Amino acid sequence: MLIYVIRRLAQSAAAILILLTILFFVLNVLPGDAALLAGDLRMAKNEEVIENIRSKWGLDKPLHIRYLTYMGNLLKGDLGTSYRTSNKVIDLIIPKLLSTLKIVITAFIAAVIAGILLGFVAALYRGTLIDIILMIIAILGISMPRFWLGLMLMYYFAVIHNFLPASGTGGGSFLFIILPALTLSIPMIALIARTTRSSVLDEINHDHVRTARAKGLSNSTVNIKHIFRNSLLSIITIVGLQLGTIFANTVVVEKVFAWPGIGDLVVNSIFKRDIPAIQGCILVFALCFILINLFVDILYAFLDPRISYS
Amino acid sequence: MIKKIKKNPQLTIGLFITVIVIFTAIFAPIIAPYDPIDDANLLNSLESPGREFRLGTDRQGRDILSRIIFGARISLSIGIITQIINTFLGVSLGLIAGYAGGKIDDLIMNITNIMLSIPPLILALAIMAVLGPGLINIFIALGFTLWTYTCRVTRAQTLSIKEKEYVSAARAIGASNFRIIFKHILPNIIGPVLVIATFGVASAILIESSLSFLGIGAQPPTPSWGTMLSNGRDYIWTAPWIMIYPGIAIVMTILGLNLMGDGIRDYLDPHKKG
Repeated sequence: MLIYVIRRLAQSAAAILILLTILFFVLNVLPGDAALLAGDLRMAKNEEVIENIRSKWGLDKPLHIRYLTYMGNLLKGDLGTSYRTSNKVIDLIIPKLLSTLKIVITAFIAAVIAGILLGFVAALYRGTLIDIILMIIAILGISMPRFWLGLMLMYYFAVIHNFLPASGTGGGSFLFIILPALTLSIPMIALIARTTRSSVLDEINHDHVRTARAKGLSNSTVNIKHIFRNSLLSIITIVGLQLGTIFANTVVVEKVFAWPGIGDLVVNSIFKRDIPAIQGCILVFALCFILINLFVDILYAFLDPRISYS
Repeated sequence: MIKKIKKNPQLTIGLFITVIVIFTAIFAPIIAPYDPIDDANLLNSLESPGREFRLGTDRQGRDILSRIIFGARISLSIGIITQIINTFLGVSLGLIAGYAGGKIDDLIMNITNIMLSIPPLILALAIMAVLGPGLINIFIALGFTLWTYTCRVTRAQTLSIKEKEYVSAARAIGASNFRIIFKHILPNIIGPVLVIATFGVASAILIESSLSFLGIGAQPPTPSWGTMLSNGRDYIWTAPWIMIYPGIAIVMTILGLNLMGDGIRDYLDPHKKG
């Protein structure tokens, strides 16, 4: 088990290292002089200014030296300095990440509870109208682009009915979290509900369930202890995968609701070609995704002793 | 075969929607009442849906319906072309990895796993950060990011088929590697690859619309659904039709493709029908 975890950690580290290396070289080699992009283009007409900017950001050094410096700093937890704001990238990212976590965690909790509940209900009442309606909603939820869903929710709740704020953070008020979190969670609810339904259906016809009912256990005991617990494994797979991609989806949702999170930061940095900030944000996205997947894999081993990780 | 398709409502509905979208894209100039770009007239700016403009107009006075119809061309061409590149890449690499085995297999699978460890939207975002905004760059970004699932599945299938007796038999009678791959392995992986490709077209369309919505995809005045929605956000209070209808177009297209993918999977594998 420990060996498995160590191997997975090494693999993840290698994945991130390679991603960062490719990103570094491609971003720094490809089009335009980074000094021109780093400085203001109007100022950059002056040769002397360009030289100053170059030496300020270390852009006058050869590429491989810059790469080694970047990687060395990274090991010390230094993600570099933003070309645009001259702040440390890490100081830019942390408040944005915390702000993103607010909506991600709210969305995740809502999605897990609602998704499992709806899927379970659909499976218990399979074939009835409830099941059919729930599953139609589920497939619509999966097919809907999140930004459009967000716009529609904003239109319905903020424009037509005017009982939730349309966008912004409102200085930390929970009301402002509801719409972005709902937008993030609805497609997840749909997916979790579908998975829960099918894995509960797989379980429901097993012999041990029939035995449990035959020996007179109450309905709720059978539902929870015999059906639900056994179908948990495949639910966790999907939930885990979803939590990884939820961070990626914040990029569009934050744009819709003007939420100042890390998704918003990466898009703005791309527009401004702020290379250190882009690298930092992508590193954070990849790290979140990889760590969550790792966590889910390890969780498996505890939940299902049959899985061996030799 | 038609009977089998009739028994499979998902496939029927999915196919129906997809065919409509494809026809809309092909015959766009005939169906669309106005030109999506040139028929801009500020006198018709932000006109609400009515007789003259069925789905209303945007700020520049362009007909929303016509722009949605032409938008189908962009979405579908992105979905299909990038998926052709992805399928070609995925199948070739998967076949090579599965058939050759050893170090080549390790190398290809390591690259695949690294790619899989980053969400496609973020990967596409990183590529767009390098290449800069624009429609052509989206083709590149999506053409090289979504091949990983195809590669994994192709490799797994190749590995199991390679060990089958008929492959040994073919080898025993002196069939070349080329012949074994094209006559025995490839026909057996077409089914699963087709299913992945159908879902892949859907996710490519979704990612394109997301990137265009963020402003780093198709640039105005190109009638891309994502770009239209991005403009619509600013008029949510005054002209909500700008953001409602292009969204419905995306949802219907994705829904059609997803249903079709589910349907093909059930059709190919009747046991799994749930």
